[in-house]
Amino acid sequence: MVRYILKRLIIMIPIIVGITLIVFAILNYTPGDAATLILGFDATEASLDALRAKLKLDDPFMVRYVRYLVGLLKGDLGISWRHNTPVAAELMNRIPNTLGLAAYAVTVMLILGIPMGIISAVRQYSLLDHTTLFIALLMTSIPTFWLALMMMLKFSLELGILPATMPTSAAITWKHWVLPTFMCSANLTASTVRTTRSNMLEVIRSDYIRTAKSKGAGQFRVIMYHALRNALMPVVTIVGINFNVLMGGAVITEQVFNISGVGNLLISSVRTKDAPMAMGCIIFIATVIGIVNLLVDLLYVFINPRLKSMYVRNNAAKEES
Amino acid sequence: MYDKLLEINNLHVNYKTADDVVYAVNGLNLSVRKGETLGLVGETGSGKTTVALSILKLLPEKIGFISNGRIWFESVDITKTSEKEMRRVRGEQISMIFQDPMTSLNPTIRVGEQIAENLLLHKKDMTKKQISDRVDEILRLVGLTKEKKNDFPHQLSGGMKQRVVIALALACEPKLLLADEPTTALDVTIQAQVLSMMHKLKEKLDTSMILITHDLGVVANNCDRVAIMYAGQIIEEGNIRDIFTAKHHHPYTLGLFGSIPDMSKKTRRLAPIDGMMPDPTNLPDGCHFWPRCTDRMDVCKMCEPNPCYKDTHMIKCHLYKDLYNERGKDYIVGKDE
Repeated sequence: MVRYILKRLIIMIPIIVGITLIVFAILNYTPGDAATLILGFDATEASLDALRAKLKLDDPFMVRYVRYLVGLLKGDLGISWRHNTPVAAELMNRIPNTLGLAAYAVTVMLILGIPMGIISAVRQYSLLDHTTLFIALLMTSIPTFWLALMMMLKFSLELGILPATMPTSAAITWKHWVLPTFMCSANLTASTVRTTRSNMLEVIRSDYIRTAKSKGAGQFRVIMYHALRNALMPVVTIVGINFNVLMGGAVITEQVFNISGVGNLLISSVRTKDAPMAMGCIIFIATVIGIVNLLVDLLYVFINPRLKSMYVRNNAAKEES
Repeated sequence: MYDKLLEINNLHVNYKTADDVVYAVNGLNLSVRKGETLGLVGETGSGKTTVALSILKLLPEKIGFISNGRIWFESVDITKTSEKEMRRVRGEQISMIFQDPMTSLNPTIRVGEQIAENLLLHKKDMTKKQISDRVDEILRLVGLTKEKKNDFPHQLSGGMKQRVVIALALACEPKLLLADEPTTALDVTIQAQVLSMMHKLKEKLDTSMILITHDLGVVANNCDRVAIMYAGQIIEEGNIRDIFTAKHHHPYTLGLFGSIPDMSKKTRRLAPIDGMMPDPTNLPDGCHFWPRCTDRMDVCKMCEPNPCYKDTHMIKCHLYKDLYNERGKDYIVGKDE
């Protein structure tokens, strides 16, 4: 198992390097001169040249890319062109907000989505089931940013209960997280409910559930001990995919609620052609997605022992050859 | 009467689907005595499994219903028992060996735990150590080593899985075992092993058994009595001699035997029964077998035959109205039998 985890972590390296190359190339070859954007359109040609020389913008693309990679290997993400501060420090400031929001959203999704899905399946076609499904369908269909704006109108402007935007880090309370978390998790919870429900329905009609009932197990035991684990497999996939969506979606949520997170930083740095900063953000997002995917795969093995033997067999076969 | 463990009277079971009502069991009468093995034989779709599921009250929820009839288990009417009390009956008093060992075990739980669960649910006074010892013992009984209890179902072969399923059913030493085609999914060599093992266990634990099968060879070797089922009814019933050696049989039974290759006779072809089982949503009037029957008479299309008895042998067919005794006239099968 340890071998497998190591292998997966090592595979992540070329993936991230590939991503850096693509992003670096896009930032480099798209129109717009970084020096002009930094200094403004009324800057003199001399000062522009000086800045270009300082940022080594005149070197060929590959030279600059390799220089960046070497820095990256040393753990140096570079200096922001725009702010003249280290990228790593700025990222460290932003990461807690982004990861925090994702964690809140996933937590809400798990503690609401899975139980609702189970109850819906067990009480199939009941009023509760219909209501849950209706709300879930509504939440998947409504664009969440629109929903977020509506919630802001209602709860922030009209009722004045919840703040609409995030203040500077010192003044953040739990109230500030309510609307962003809701916006992030509404969609995800809905899809979790639907996946859990449909898998549960399939599992509770299976032969081994009948076997469990024939042993005299009560409904609660049948559902929690026998069915849930088998029904959770696809739900784990959904959670993994959703976490990735969250990372990408952070860009929108953070804009809407003015959260100073990685997504917001990414947008502003792309706008200003702040290449080191944008690269830092992308590397962070790519790494998180890679790690979450690995965790999801490990969770599969934990949930379904059958997969474990598959990994072992693969490794054994490779060792032989 | 008093040695009867299970008695089913006039059982009707329906499956209600969106557009149809499936009449799976239609007025079935059956009894099982203590320590006896009853073979329940019939084609696919004749309602054998439905009968077994009705006894455990495990018909698919919201689809399968017992619409009429009584199932007496000892002195309890199972059709009137609450779900909570049924839970105490299932697994401890009556347990079932399911048809398909491949899908009947939970893929995410170790087989030892799956066997232990039965004890955990019913033998509340057993300690962990006692339960684990009992699991080892029951695994040994079904011919598996105790190391196998730490395996997951996918690590076992089909035959081993079926042994685990049997071990599961026997864990609490039930009074009645419902074996639903326990060997159908296995190849022939394993079939013989599993059957002889079940036979030994049954003797040892003095369990009654309903052996559901469509294999008459299995019936001949393992059963004390045989009931032949067609379209949700028992159409012929008797002890093993009545079915295999008596002169008179229900035309359907003759058809069943005609479908087995007989090595002692020279025939070019088998003589299977023509036609298919009637559509259970739309059963024919009269005797359910008449559309396929070679000896059909006009009366068969009109009214359902009564069961006719001769000693222990029952045939439900108009042909034997005079040869055998109809119930209610001079009913000669003693309750003593």
